[in-house]
This record gives sequence, structure tokens and C-alpha cells, in this order.
Amino acid sequence: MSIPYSGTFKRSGGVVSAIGKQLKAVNLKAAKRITVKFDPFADNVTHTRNFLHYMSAKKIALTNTNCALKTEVVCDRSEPTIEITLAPSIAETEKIAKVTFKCGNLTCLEILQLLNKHISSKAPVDQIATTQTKLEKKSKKK
Amino acid sequence: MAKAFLQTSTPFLIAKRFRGKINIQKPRKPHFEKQLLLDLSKPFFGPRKNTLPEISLCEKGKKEWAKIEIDNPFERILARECLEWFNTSKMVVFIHVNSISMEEKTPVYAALKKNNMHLRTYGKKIVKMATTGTRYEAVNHLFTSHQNVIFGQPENSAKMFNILKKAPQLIVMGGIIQDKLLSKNELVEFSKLPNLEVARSQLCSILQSAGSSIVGQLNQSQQMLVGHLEKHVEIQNSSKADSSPSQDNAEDSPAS
Repeated sequence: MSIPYSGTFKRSGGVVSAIGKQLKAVNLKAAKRITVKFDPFADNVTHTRNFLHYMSAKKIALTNTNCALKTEVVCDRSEPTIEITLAPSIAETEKIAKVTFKCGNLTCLEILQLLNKHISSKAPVDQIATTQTKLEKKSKKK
Repeated sequence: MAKAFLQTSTPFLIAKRFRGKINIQKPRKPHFEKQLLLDLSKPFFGPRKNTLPEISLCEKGKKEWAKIEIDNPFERILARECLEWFNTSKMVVFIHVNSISMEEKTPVYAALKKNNMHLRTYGKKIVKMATTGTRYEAVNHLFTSHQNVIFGQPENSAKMFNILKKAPQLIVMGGIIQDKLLSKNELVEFSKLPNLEVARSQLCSILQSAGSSIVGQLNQSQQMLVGHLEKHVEIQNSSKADSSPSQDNAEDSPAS
């Protein structure tokens, strides 16, 4: 008379694990330049600054060495924004030149999720060059 | 067989069973330590739940593991040290720290130290403790993510910007110079200003310029006249010089 188990089998690890999962999935190959603009004295800057801290890590920079991360500090109480200029090859195919995130009301996790949805998904897949050895060529000829 | 069982020391055993008469009315006073144990382990039954008012029985509003604020004397010492730094340094610059390794940060720290500037890290809680109630309270707002503070004197602001150029992971957010809170752009402008003595001399020259321009204008016509006269004298001298060598030549030739 037992009811089959319903619900999750694994429990969530919390926000930090979720952020870590998103960071592992980040791929900046489609991006040419990332500009983070924030006003340090504004109220809603915590998550943007945290995002900036995570994005400046070496691991993420290694996904695309040509992508530049630039920070602009302004003092006009404007909303924090993140502008990502796409690489020209991707921009041509997708017909999008820039992606802008307005982070006033977004949490760090949400920004990363949106980044993965819009930018990491557009990253070109690396084609592994296959080289044939002499033996394989000989066996093929036979 | 006897060795398999635990050996009990029989002299301490007194047979109380099958005795016939047992003592209940006058129990022996227990040993002090036994009495302590008994008193400590006495069960406590609180008031019955049906006697309590319903409001005290509600468990919805309670937070199970509520954070209890413990007074930490080390934190107080650090907060006092932080406030001293704020009070003694005329220039305080707040920088946002991106992901940077100590390998890259140490040369920046060393370069700043050589120029009498100190790069220090204080946590959010310590800075809050140090600045609430003082005139530096606005600074709390900046301490939300990762940040460092540079304490120094305003003369070194230009050098500081030069040093920080080499570490792009350290981003200047704002600063306090001589008790005035400045934004990043204002700080950059301040660093580009000339030395105080140079500024003072510029001010003096501006103040003098009004009087000196009047003096110049008054003397203008006289100076023009003097200039013209000098030119006239020169022309006359040159013409005399032209004529006299020709006369000398004429005198000389008959002599030779």
C-alpha cells in the first residue's frame, strides 16, 4: 500500500552551486568585447559587480583570448548594464551586432543564465582536424 | 568457567535482597557528588500546554537557528584600526577588485608602498562597525562585492593612477580627498591638477595681470616714441658711417 515516491531525488546545492554550474558552461567564443558599466554608489550594483568578479577569472578568459573585458565606472546613478559585442562572423549569421543586459533588477545567477542562453549557445563548435596515418592510408588503398 | 565472567569484588557487595525489612522512611543521605548529579539531572516539566495561552504555542514565526550577534573583541580592534587609517590619511581611494592572483597583486602592493601608499583589505562588517556614526558613513554603500582600500596622501594621486594602470583588475570606484567624497572622474581630474605651489603662482600671476595690463597700456605710447627715436638714431649713425669711410679713403689714398 505504499505510494510511489514523488518529488526530487537529488536536492539542490544552493545558489552558489547553481552559479558555479552556469560559470562552467560559459563560452565566450562568440563575443568580441564585453563592457560592464556601473555606478558604484547606485543601489542595485551588487550582482553586477559579482558578475564582473566571476567573469574576470582566468578560466573564462581562456575560452576566448581575443575577447576583451572592459569596465566603465560612471557617476550618474544610471542602471548597471552589460554590453556584449558579438564577433563579426557570428554577427553576420545571427544578424545581431550587440547584446545588452540591463542588470538593475537581475541577480548574478539570472545574468549568467541569460548569458549562457544568448552568447554561449552561439559559440562556434571547434572542428577537430583528423589526420590519417600512413598505415590507415595503405589499408584503405588495399 | 569462572574466568569467562566478570570478576566482581565481593567485599563491596551487601545483600539487600531477601532481607525482609527494607528502609524507605529514613533513606541514607547520598554522597555529595551523588547529590550533585541527582540535582543536575532532575527532570523539569514545564507548564502544561493546555494551561498556556494559544499565542505562545504558535511555532510559525520562530526562526530555528537565528544568528546570535556575538561581540568579538578582535573585530572591534580591527574596526578601530580601520577608523584610524581613515582619520590619518588625507587620501582614501576605494577600488573594486576583479579576480586577481596574489602573484599579480604583490608588485602593485610593493609599488604603492614605495610611494607611501597602503593597499588594505577590510571586510564589510568591519567597515560598517568602523564607520557607522562617523562622517564616513556614506562609504558603507561601496562595500557590497570585493573591494580594497588605498590609504595615502593627495600628492601621490597621479603616481597611484600610473601604478594601477599596470593592474587592470583593480578598478577605481571613488575616493575621499581632504574630507570630500569624489567620484572616479573627479579623482582623475584631481590627479591631473598641478602642484600646489604651481597653482598658487598661477593664481598670483592672474591677480597681477590686471594691474600689469593697465601699466603696459599707459606706457605704450611713450615706448613707441622711444622705439621710433632709437631707430632714427641708428639710421643716422649708419648713414654717417657710410659717408665717413669714403672721406677717409679719399684722405688715405693721396697720403699713400
